[in-house]
Amino acid sequence: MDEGSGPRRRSCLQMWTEENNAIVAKWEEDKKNKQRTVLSPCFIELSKLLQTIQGLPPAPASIPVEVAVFYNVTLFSLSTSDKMILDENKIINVLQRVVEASGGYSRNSDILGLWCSALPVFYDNSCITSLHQLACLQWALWLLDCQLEKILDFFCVLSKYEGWSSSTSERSSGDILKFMQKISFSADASPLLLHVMSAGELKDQLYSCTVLAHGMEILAAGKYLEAAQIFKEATSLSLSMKMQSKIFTLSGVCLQNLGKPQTALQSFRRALEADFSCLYALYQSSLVYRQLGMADAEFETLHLLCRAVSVPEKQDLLFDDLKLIDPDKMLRNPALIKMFKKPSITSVKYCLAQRSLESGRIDDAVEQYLDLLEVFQEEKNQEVFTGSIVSLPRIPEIYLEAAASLFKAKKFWDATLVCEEVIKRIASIVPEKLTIAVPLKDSEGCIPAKSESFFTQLKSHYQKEEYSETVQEEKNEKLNCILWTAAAYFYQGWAFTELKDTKESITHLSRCINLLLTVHIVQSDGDCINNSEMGKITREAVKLLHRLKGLAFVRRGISFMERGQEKEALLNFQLSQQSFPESVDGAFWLLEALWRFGRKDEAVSYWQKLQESRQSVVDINNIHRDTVLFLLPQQELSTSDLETLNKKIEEYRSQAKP
Amino acid sequence: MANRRCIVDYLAKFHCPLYEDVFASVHVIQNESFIYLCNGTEFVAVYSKCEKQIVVVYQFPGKACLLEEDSKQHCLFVLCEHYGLFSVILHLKDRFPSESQQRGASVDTCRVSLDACIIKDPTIQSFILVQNLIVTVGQKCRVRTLSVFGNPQLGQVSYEKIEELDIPILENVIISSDDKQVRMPPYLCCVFPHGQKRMPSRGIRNFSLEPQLFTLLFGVDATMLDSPVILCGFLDGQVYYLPLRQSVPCTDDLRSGNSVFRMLYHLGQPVRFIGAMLPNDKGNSTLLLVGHYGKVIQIKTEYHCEGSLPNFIERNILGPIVSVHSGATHIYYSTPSDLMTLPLSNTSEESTSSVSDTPATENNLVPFFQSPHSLNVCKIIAVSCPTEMQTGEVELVAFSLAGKLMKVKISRGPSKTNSSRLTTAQTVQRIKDLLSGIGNVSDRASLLKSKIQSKNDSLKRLNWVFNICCLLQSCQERKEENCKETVRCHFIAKWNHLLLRDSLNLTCALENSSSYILEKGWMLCVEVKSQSYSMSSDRKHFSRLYTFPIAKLLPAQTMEVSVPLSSLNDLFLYALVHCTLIYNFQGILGYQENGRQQDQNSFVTSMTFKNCICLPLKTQTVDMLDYLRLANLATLPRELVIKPVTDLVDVFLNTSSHIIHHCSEQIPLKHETQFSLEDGNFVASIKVSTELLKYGLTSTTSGVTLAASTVAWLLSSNSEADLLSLPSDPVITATTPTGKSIKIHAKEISLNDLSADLPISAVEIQIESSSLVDFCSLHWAILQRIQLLMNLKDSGGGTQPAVRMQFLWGLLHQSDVLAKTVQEVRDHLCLGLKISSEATEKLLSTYQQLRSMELVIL
Repeated sequence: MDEGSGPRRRSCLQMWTEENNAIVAKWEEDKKNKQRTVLSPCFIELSKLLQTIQGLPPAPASIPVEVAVFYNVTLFSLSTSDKMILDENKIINVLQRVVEASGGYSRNSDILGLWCSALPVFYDNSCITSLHQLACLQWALWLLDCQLEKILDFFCVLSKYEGWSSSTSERSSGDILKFMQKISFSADASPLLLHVMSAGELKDQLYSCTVLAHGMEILAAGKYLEAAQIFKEATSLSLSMKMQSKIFTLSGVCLQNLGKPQTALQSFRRALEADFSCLYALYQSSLVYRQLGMADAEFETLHLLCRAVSVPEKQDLLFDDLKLIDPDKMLRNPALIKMFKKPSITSVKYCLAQRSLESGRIDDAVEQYLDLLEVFQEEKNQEVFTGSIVSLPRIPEIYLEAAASLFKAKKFWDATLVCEEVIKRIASIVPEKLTIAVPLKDSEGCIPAKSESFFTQLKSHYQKEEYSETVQEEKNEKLNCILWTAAAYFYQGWAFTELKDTKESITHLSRCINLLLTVHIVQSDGDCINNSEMGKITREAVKLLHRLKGLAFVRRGISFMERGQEKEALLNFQLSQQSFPESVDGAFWLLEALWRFGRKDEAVSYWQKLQESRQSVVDINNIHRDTVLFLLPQQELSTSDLETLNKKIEEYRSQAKP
Repeated sequence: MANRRCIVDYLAKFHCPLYEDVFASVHVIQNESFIYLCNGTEFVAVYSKCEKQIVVVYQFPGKACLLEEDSKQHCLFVLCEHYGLFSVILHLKDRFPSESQQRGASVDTCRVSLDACIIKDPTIQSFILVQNLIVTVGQKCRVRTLSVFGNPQLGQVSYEKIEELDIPILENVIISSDDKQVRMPPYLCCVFPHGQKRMPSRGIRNFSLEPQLFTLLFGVDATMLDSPVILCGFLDGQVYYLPLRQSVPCTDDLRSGNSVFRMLYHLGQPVRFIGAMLPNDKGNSTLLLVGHYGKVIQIKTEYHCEGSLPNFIERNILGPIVSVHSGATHIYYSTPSDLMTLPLSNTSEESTSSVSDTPATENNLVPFFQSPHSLNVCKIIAVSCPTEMQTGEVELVAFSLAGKLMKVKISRGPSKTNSSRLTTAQTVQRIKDLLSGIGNVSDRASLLKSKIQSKNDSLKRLNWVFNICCLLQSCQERKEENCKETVRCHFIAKWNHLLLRDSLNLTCALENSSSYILEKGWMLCVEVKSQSYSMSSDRKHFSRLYTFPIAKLLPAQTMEVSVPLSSLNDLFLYALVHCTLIYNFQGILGYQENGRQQDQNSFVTSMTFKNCICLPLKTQTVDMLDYLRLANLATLPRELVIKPVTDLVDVFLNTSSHIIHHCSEQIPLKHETQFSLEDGNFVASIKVSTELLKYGLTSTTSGVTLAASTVAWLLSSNSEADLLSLPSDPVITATTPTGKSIKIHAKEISLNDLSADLPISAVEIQIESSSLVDFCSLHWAILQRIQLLMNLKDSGGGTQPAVRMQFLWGLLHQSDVLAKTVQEVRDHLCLGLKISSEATEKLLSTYQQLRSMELVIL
């Protein structure tokens, strides 16, 4: 076989080599002319060539050619389809053929085992280039599948072959990464065989992606220090601008979490310098500014972000680099992808609006919110936004927040319109009656289920079957709907109060109260449900319910007072105190009312009681600040009113004492 | 299942490849003017409704599995396996109207190149057009991905991926991508809240729902944002929904495990269709899910006091469902055997009245399910979206397994709300229709009834025929005498005197002693085979066949037919008579063919025996002894019907019958013309031993000598035998049919020198005649009778007395001499020499000597 087919075999190899070179040359020619027209035909031709080569049984002499052609074909295939797909079976096939070429036989379907048996063949026949090429492809495959451990294992094995000695028997991932960096893949054995892309170049790109992915994993695990180190080392690599900016961003995140805001800001700046389209850096820097309390800088950043997001992305990426492999696409880590995705306009705008409202920039807030609502209602806006890094609350809440901002800006009529919008949409699913189960104990701990016997559990389970998780969720949703609608009515009522239309305001506030009263709170024994998250949400919602009820009663009482219906007013204030005892407003107005009606003794006794429990009142507002933004605009009672009241009562008491 | 009337128009015929999962790739779409079809091959055909023919066929690089049309941009989106999504711009408005005149004009075939592939992704399984986005769902290994592609600038061909999301797969359900049983792409559709003022949707799989149901199912956020919701139904039955615009509360910015997809329902079987039905003033009030094996889920709003909930009403129809689409009030679906339509009604109105304060449980709702109607169109594998015409008819385009594209118009069945009074003309028409329908049905019924009746009759007759056949066959297998219940036939030769002429007739009596009736169709067939008389003819037998149709032969009845035996051929030596029963099977069907009774004679005259069965009854020989005229004939000259024979030699040369003797052979006797048969006294004697005779003489009345009884036995088969009183002297003088007299004389003798032991008593029968022919016939007849005896003896067994050798030697010597004489004559003949009269004389004398030899039949 050898002798007779020797000359034939060599000429076969020659033929293949020539053909390969011809195709690659054609492609390179095309690349110089900045065209991509011959990519598909080249790919098809090369695939046919590969099929021809793989039709014959493998031999040591044919390994370099085969691997080279396979390498070229795979790289072409990665760029012809939008989705980068690498078939592991093809690599396995090539490896098996390599092993067979040296006379071995491998049944090993485990890829690492196969590599172990194939590596000696490469070294024996000194086809190091082929080894490097194939290794690169395998690396790329694992990277696309986000299997970093396999990459590390593979390079561990490879390092043994390369004689990479290490002091410890166990090799840490850092060591392996070092090895990966140090190893040079650019030894081009034969200049005869042309390659589409040199193995060394590919290796560098793959290495940078691997480092990034690895770092990301560590970051996600919470080990910020380690991650920061990795990223710092990675900055020394020569990378594309996009990759560099990503690395800077990630290191900035680490630093931020490590409590070094200034350094983090620096990193972010560098990231933005490298590539401005990495908007995550911008967002993160705004967060840092918020943390540092630099409101102006924060808002400037957010405005910049807003503008940046509105600009459509440039499409010139396709034709600038005619690279076969886009490192960006190699990164398949979902967290990474999410992070570096362009945030949606809506979320950015919301962020800005929210911050404005929170920090008291009412006009800005109003503008932003109205902008946002317009975006929602715009018909031409076809934007799809699902899951961006900037979080959005529920849409009705956004509307309510907008109403709140309008309210604060004293644009009452607009506020009513916004609330009307909310009511219109939600009113259809608002139930007539809702039963919510709340435990007797208000604390986190409740009666553990284990203490009850099996049968009572079962019985209770069947009786309270309606309290399963999904049902609870549905009830929460309904409760939310009720709360939103009630809040909308509340704002409308309050707006009408401000607009001096007491009749309307009373109507709306009555609607609000009626809606809130449809919720029946049932005290339950609290076995199954209340430890869950749903239960927590329910409790929060119930608290909010009470608070809103209290506020609504107060407002209605005030309206009644203005109309001169004092009895009703007093009743309302009393009811408000019943539902929400911690309200300062409510207490004040009740005292006021009592005073006006001449029931001064009652007022005094009540005032005394109140003084005792004064401490807890002050903190209430702070506690609820975080949770419910839309109930923010509390009419702050002016201290003068309070003082006058206090004085009056003190006087009376002192009068009454003797 | 009731039937609905539907009219089917066939539009075109295509080639349909036959593999099991072809129905998953066959789709039909129609709009006002065109029909688009992909039939599981790489071709997509466009059929024009106004031109009524296929106008364009597109050929794609791969198999086309799904297609959608964008009417705004006049392009067709086609999903090709292993390639991706192609977009083809339809230039259908450029066609000149004159082209429609040429039928069979060449259909444009466009080959679509790979450049038209806008999304190169071989893993895509399904796609949908939503406004100006394309949403695709693909699966690779165990990962399902939903991608959203947008067109950044309208008019540009390239699409950019906006979003890619992973759809969760339930872990306990193992989906193998090469499951051969059901291979269906995921079903994608898009739902809008009703009342949107957005740009109307592009694709056909977009529909709207009433706001309340929309909010209940998909959340408040989606309603407030007016976001379209994508619904995907997968092979394992899961139906997920994804609002395209939503807010996701981000709990952890780096690790988010919650998927944006939420499950709407788990059907448990592959999802075939998702649609919306039953529109009311607020929009479609029902969301419909249809599974492959027949599960239909209607999702409606259910009103409770604690708020409304979506109600999932489940019902099952007969699957597997091949293709399904929904109209406003009906679902149209095809199973492998039929195309069905199922009306769905609004049940919510009926249920609200029964709702009390307690939460409504399922028991309070009484859903009114109607049953599916069959449209009687089978083998439909793809159904398009139904369109409602102005006349109230529903029209849909369907594609059948045989490759036919057809348009099905379904008329609206009787609906309750439309039971308004019909006009008089309509009523009259309706009554006429009904009456003619009834008439048709009754005609058919009567026709069928008569056919069944005739079939029964035929079967009955056939049964009889077979019974008779079996009976006869079984009788033949056993001995005939043992059969009592059979059909028998018996021959007697009789002399008739008609118009001063005597004629010999052979009467065949057919006796039906079985319990069956021989009816029309049966025929009695009598075949008379006679010996050839003249020398000039070749040695062949003459035969005549007489067929008599049997009208009706009841049990225990006898039918008699007569055939003449007047030819000389019949009377020479013997005639062989065969009697068979023939049944012609046309008699079974005979009555229905012409509606009247078939003329039986036509069978007879046509003499064709096709489709017949023959049952042989009896074979008998009729010889001289049977038709010897024993009665004293009047001296009136009677015209002879028999002509005397002219050439005796012919007779001798042609005859082939032989008499079994110890040694005898027929001797051809040359006869000179001088000789006349009338001259000469021919005498022969036959000696038969008494022992042998005893076999035949079963009945020996007292007072009758052996010789007399022998004679009587010989003449027992003669019809005139009973007329004769047996004289003591056994001498019979009879007249042969030719008119000559013949004498038979029997006497007892005793032979002493034959056997060594005892003298053997024998009977000598002497024959005397003046005519040689008659002499030969009689001699032969008697010998036949004796042969019968010998057969009986052989079967019965018996001892043979020893015969002296000397006697035998003497006989042999005699016969040698005779043989030599004959040999001489024969040599002469062989040499071609003319036979002299001497030779003839010699032969004759030899014959005589033979006849009077001392041979004894033992």
